[in-house]
Amino acid sequence: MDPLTPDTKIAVQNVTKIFQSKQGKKQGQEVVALKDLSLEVKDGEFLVIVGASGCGKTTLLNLVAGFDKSSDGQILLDGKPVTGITPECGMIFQQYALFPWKTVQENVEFGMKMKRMPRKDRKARGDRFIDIVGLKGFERSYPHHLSGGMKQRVSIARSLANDPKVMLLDEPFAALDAMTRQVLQEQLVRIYEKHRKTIIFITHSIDEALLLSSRIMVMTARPGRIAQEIINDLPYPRNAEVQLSSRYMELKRMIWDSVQAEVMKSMEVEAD
Amino acid sequence: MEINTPSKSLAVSIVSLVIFITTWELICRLGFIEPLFLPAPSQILSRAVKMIENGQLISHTLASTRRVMVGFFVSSMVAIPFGIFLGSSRFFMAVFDPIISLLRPLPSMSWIPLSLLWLGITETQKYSIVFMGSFAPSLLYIIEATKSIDPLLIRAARNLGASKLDVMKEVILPGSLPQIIAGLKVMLGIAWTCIISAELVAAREGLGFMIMNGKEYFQTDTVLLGMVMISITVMVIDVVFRKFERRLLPWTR
Amino acid sequence: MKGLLRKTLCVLAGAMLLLGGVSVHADETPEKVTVIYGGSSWLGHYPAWVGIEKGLFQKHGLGVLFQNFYASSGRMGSLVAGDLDVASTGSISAIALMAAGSKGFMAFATPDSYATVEGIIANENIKTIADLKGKRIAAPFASSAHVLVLDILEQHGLDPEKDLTLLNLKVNEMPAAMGSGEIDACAAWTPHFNKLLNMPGNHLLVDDTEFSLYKKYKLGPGPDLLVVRKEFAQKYPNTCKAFVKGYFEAVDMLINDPEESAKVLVKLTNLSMEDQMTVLQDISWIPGQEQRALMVDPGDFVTGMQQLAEFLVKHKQIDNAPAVNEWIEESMVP
Repeated sequence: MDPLTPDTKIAVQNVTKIFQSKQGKKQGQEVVALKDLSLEVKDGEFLVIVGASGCGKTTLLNLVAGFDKSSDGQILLDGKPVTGITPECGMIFQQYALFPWKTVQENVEFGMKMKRMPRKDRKARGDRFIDIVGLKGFERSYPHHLSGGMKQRVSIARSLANDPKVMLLDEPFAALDAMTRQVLQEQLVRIYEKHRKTIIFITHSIDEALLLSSRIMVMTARPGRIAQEIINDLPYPRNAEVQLSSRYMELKRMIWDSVQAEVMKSMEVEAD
Repeated sequence: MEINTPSKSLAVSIVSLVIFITTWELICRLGFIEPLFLPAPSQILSRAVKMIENGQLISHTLASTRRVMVGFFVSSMVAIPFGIFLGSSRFFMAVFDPIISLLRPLPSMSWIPLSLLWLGITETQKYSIVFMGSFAPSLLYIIEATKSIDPLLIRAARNLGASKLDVMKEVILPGSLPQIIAGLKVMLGIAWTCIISAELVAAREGLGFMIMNGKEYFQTDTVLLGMVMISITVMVIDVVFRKFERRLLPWTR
Repeated sequence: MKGLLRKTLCVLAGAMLLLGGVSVHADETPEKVTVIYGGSSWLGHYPAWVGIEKGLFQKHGLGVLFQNFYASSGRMGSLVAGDLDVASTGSISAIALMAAGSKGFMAFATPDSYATVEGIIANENIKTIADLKGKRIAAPFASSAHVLVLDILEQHGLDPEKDLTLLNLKVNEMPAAMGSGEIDACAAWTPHFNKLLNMPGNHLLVDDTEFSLYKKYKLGPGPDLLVVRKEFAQKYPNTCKAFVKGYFEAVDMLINDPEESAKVLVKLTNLSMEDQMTVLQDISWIPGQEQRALMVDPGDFVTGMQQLAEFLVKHKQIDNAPAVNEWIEESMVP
């Protein structure tokens, strides 16, 4: 095992996760979701994990957030093992997971309320993050009055306001239309540049990975392992010019080749 | 006719009610049915006027309404926290499940002898009948309501630093509130059947007593008036409840 | 369901009668050989039971079926609905049904008087009626005992609404309520009356002989009344006459040979022979030959009933007092 470098934020060390299949004809059978997986995320790094569906990306995030326990191996956050759900790792879900009975304001203030922060401080900080994600004027709206993109911005503000050490984003923009997605991606990059949070971002979109990341990891299908690691050296801002550059195309092809191989493999597994 | 506006459907409802009552009145007036078996609506109305004048109708209605509301309120106030607690704990659910299963099928009537022994001939005894008749079913409604909550929301709350108690208070309670209220509305109807049976024994006021005493004296109009009053009271409470519901669930608007 | 049961019972009764091989006088032959009687284990139904058990109805060519109904009101409801032909009932229920305007039934006799086995029983703290002030007293509402309480309170200037708490309890719930101190006094009739009296500390405050109408007319607060379904009486006069004959022969047997009667009554009441004899001693039976004086022109009993009806109106139990004499079926009075 590699010794931890001082700026390592998260260390996933030889993690294996085995599930008992609960339904269908494979009931009772064991499914190896992750096998002997190790990776490190440095402080302030924007790591994007790319992989086909069912490769265990979400499982990995759930382990980091402490929602689930690994069958073997361990995960360290700032050198300390993660043993339960921790607010240090703020999670952003694809389905937003906003509380429908709370207004935008109340949703954003939720984490602070749980920390028993005084109402006044809560309000001031909440207002700041609502402003950052561009939702000023919607403080008193209920989530079901908001569009998908707005909901996800509330969710991001809610996480940021809680000041987590790490942000975990599980395909956060997958359910949004292309235009909205682009706006939110740009907004996320701006937030990242300003707040320098450590981010683990999961996606199945190679373009999204190239636009956002400082480093990209491609995951294999079951059992999930790291197939390839790419340092994303594209210059910021990653505007249209960058997206048409030959380096962008080169990186995209490289990732695509390895993703494609994994997709084919996983389809064979399904056919068994 | 196509029913495409609320006012049109209201008009149809009113016409249907008028036809129903007129037919009933005619059948009685023409002597097809003896008043002992079915008094005419006008006879019920004149009984109502008489009982409003001497104050009995109001006092019987208020007595029953008070008993229902007190018993039902106490039962809900216990069932809501307890149901949310059980709904969020598999262990305690397993502990209490057999007891709830034993209590649930018991009709409120069956509690009358025991409640009389334990509480005597008191108002508390009447409340307890409503409580026992509505508690177990309310509890089951509430447990069921907690299961309708998206587990992702519980995860999100925990991820934002909520303790298990915070989750119950901040997520499970508000999240299941729409279903809880829907369930409690059904339970309110059941609470009324409980009080009517409670008032059959050792009571001297209330709509249940009014019906039974009317039966003893062959005053079928009093019996029917009592029944009509139950319907009206439940309808009025339902309207009040709906107002209250809108206040309580602003996000569903 | 009820109809089917009734038909089956009729067929059975008819068959029993045929097996008995009875012959009756031609011109008085009953038009219908089965009569359905509504009763309970209450003492007012003893004559009908004895008549059935001792074959007194059979002698007159009738098969009588004894249908059990616990409460008078249910029995009367069934009678006017056509499910019973003849019944004995508490007079409060009969007056209430008259007040409700039902012309479906007629009264024709009063077979018994039981003034000393109904009354108000109190615990040791209550020595006089005046002591009831501020206390809790129970009576089954809409019953003779209820009427007794209202009357006694009135005689002593007590207001049942203001001066004390009057509770609605069934007689079978009273022993427990007295035992626990839940109530201070209660009004009940036999056999619970005797049971309550035997409980330590309890004593008799008043019985029916203190009832105001009893003092005037020898009429208790809820005397028993024999009633017949009007349609039945009109359609089957001979059957009715035969029933009345059999019935009052049974009354005579109860008067002359209580021991023999008690032997069959224990099957109805589930009392011990000894208790049954005690109950019989407390009842005064009114034989057939005395009925006319009580029931017709105008008859002390009918006058008393009229007073009772007016009493019920005064105490807001019924809306209006019916003219009781319009419900007397003279042709059936023995």
